[in-house]
Amino acid sequence: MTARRELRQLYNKRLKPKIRVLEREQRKIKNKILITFIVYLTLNIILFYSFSQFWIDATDGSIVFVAITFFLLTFFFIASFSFFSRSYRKRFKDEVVKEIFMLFIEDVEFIPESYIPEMTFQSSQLLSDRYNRYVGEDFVKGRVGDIKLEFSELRVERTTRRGKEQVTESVFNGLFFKYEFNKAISNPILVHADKAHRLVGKMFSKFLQRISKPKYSPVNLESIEFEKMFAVYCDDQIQARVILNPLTMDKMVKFQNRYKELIELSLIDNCLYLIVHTRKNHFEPKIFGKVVSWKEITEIFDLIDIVKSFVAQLNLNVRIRR
Amino acid sequence: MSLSLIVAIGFIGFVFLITIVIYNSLVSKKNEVENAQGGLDAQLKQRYDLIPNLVATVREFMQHEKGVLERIVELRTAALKKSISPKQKEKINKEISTNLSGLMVQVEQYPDLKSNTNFVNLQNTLYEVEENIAASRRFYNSAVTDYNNSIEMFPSNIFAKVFNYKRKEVFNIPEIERKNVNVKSLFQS
Repeated sequence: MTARRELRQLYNKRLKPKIRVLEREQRKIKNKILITFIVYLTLNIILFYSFSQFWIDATDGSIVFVAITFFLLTFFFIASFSFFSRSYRKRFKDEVVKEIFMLFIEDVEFIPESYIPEMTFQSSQLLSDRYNRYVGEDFVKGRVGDIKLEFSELRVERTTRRGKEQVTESVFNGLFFKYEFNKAISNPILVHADKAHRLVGKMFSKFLQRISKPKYSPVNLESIEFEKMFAVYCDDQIQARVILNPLTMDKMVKFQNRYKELIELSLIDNCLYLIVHTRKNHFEPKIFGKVVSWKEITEIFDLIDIVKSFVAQLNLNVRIRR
Repeated sequence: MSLSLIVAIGFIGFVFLITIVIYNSLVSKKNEVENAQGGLDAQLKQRYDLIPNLVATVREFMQHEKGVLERIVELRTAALKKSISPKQKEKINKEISTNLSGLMVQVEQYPDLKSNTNFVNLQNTLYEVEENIAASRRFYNSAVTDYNNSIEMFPSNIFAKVFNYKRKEVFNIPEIERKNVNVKSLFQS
């Protein structure tokens, strides 16, 4: 049976009843939010009406009091969204999302509050930018055949000061995968999205490649399409070409074309690290609108399935040799 | 010092600098080609070293393939001679590849051999070496293309002519191997 048909069966037999239960919970949450909003609005009306009656005699202290009260009320109103929806989100992840993962990952452990350890992220050598904030969620651990798999959503940010303002820049926002094989390679291989090529063309991107990653040598491969999308670095030119053969390069190009978000990967020791820059919050149910649609379920499924197929096609357990 | 003298010195210095950069780039690319050739030779040597062990293992099982085995041994001996030209060596290596892959196909008819542990290990090692040879050839072609581009493109072609850098050939397959394989005829033969 094809994976899609299995997913459709799963959706009809097991997920739909659970989604109906979640829809009832969603309605309760919407009612609670509505009541909270009415209370919030009423309190603000009272606050500002009172202030308007006495503003002529208002002191600096009373203005500050009104401002603080307003911000506190707003803060509690926004926080109520998270508070009311906490168990609803947890149920969605445990009962719907986990079921989808179990379709193609064995021995699944799904810990929504956890994420890939920072040391693992740094071991991948995929992002060399400085950052000072590392958070994530939706940690999944399991097996695909012989290969151990871990992945999670990650948000890596850098906060800098520009004059008097504090500016937060996103360094990485997306999904991080780690596959562990039972063999290791001798030299790290890094495959980055070739942003330089997209901006300045082939000639200058090669120059930028040479100066940007002085730790490893650039590898120029034969596939023109592949070279436009990716920049490869490895100190062993032959090993890089054994792993990145024409078939693999073709698969990577097709993967990138189908899934428009940037992908980057690295092979270090016995691990393959893969990142997908999605800039989206995945695996979350909606509070307003349908809890989750068939389209959104297939998006979750496709994303994990594509990565799994791609790694399987690399056939690294067979092709990595000491 | 007059302005025109300063400009002249600056111009000469600039030209001298460009000369150094271009010359060094040509040397670097030539050395990269030699490095690639060396890498390929190392992989081919690994294959030559495998052949005696492979032939000894296979010989007792595949009595009917005696001719093929003898041919592989002959080719190996010829490839190891220091007096042969690079073109002859390439031709011999291609023939070794063809004979070895033909032999591996024939192995399917010998179930005892297929289950022999020593043979299975040798076969896996041979596949690994063949993959490395293919990757080495790709690296060699990449290095040669880079080198040929440098000696043909302006302005480095001027320096290439002055220092007598010659175009090199990439690895390619004979015309007959570029045609699509007729799978039907393979089953009929």
